[in-house]
Amino acid sequence: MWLLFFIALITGCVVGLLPGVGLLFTMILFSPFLKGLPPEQLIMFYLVVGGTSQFTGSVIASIFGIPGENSSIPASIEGTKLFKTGRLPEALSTCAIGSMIGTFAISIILIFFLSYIGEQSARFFNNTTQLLLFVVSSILLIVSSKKKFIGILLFLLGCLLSMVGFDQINNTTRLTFDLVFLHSGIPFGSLVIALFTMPYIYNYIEKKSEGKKISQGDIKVAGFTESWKIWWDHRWSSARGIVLGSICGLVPGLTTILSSNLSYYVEKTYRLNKNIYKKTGDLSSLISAETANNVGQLTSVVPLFLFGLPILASEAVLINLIEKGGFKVAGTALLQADIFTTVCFFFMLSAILAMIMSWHGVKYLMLLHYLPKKTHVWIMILINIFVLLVDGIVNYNLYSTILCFILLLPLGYILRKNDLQILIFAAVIYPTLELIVFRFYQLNFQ
Amino acid sequence: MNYIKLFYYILILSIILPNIITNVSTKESKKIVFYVAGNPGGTVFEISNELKQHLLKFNYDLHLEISGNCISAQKQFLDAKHPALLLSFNAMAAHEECSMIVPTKDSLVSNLFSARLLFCGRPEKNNLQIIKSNQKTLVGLSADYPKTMVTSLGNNIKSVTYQNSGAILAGFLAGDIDFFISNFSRGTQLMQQNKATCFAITGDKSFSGVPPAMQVLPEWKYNDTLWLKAIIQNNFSKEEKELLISHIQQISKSQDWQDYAKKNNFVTDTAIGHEVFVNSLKNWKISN
Repeated sequence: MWLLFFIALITGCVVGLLPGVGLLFTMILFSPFLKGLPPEQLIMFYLVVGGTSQFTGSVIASIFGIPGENSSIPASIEGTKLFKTGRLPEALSTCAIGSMIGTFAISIILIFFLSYIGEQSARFFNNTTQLLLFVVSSILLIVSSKKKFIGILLFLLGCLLSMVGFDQINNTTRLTFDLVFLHSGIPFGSLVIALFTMPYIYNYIEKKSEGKKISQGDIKVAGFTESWKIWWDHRWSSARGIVLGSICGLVPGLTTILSSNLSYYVEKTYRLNKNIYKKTGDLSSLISAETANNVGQLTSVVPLFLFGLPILASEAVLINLIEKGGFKVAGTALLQADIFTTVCFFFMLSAILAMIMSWHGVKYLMLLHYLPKKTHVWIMILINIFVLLVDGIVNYNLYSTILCFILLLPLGYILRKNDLQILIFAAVIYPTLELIVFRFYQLNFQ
Repeated sequence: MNYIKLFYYILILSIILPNIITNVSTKESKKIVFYVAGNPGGTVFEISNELKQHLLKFNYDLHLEISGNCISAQKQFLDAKHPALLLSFNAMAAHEECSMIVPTKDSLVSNLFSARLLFCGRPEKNNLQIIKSNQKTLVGLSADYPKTMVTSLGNNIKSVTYQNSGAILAGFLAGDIDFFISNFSRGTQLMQQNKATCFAITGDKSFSGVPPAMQVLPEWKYNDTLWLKAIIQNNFSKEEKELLISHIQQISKSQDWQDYAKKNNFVTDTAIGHEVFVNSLKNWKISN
């Protein structure tokens, strides 16, 4: 168990640092080695990889602006601003504390009230509730942007780009113009790199000064007591992240993505309304989002324990592995196996270790500040190309990934001055949102 | 920095690197591409990947290619210049835009699995009475299941579309739908928790105490609905195909494969011919 725990911890760090390699791919990749293991070890592996990758994913998103996991979009927005102003060590240490506190809070709550919470949430989580969550997060996202009308247009463009490919309602293709490489839709890697990170690089090149100039003496790991004090000042942001993260973690197909994004936009809107949102990097919004994604990671397995129900593709792979080991994941079998406390123990332990790693590892990554701007740009471009290739290879669609990326590059350049997070968010949620809206019609009006 | 130069560098990098990777990984000329008309995490991917692992033991140079959906898979499979495999299944083959991959005598390598469909409802209710009385009822169904099965039960019985069987169960537990039709594995999960009662199954025999639909719903027209998954080929020579058939028969008899089928309540019937598959398609009209 301990050996597997450390393997999961290291794997989680690597997965977080390699954008494009998600939990689903990791589970498929590790399948041959995990086959036959008991359920507690497999679920522990799954959660530790997922939880740790949330920590390290935020570090890389903050420095390079690449949201490898969709749940890292807030980190790539606020983190990069904080990185430019030299406040990244403080941001990462406080976010790591927030994530750890969130992990502990939700673990303890679930250990004592798993059955009750699960039963209630299963009833509460109908199609209308899910639709409401999507509508609220979309409205908050648009409201929090500077140019609201442009925000609406970008949201619609994101939906339009996401519509390309297979229409799951009518079982037909749409907007493919009979091009085979578009039949499976625009690969996510191409979309996010061409329309989010490349525009970030264009803007980075165009900007003459990058905020406060950092000297070598400025690079230090944020102090332990100081970080806890800063986190304490933002404790209510973390608390809001825990509440929203635990609810959104139950949304099938989106879990941590919705957890972090909705928490971020709720916090950002709240702070904008109070005129306390910091344009040079808002720590509260980031802490809320980072707390929420770790909380959402754990609540996403609640349906698995209570009903044997996978709500993510990666959980379907997990069930398959558990059942290959001879354990039938039906109904409350996992809950009755009495493994939840053990799994939570390792999940909490991984949060402590991941917190230390992301806290102290940042001093090495901050050295990137000393590189000349040109080198910095080239590192970012090469990392983006690497990510694109990894995304294409792991999803078995390398050529369509490259082709879509090239086709979308000019669009990214044209739109570079706009708030492109809206476009990416819309593209990510659209497939699920489309089905929820269609089901809303079927349930109420047919 | 000059933008045109930057674009130029990015284009060069993104074109050259994938070519190098692809050339390194495809040196072998006898590569077989196994197209997957689904995505990782789904049943089609899972079965294809499972079969791939077994075929690799027979030293096939097999490469899995995720097409994502049946339209894309069909085009890639039919246009292939190299030996190609595809997992064909009723829902896909019945679709108008994917009808070119209905197994034929030549293309069919072997049927892999068959399964029956289960009708489930709320345990506290008289589900059969509700259906027979044609009350307004909502039935959850996967996007690739035949909607005609629901609409034929009565004009007040409406289908509600879900992305997969897991989402159907979540919708049922949340109270969105009154019934669901799903594969056997998913249906029995809720039955064991007393959260659902399964009251009919397709086919002509009872299974685990659930009576056949033809007995409890005598007017129902889709009694023979079977869920079939068959493997088809393109560009294999006659000898290569014969060898592949014999290997798949060996695989289907292996303990691993049998365990996999048992876990999912599938039947491993490799004797099912292309005629059975073609006949089964009449029930799988999914677009109406």
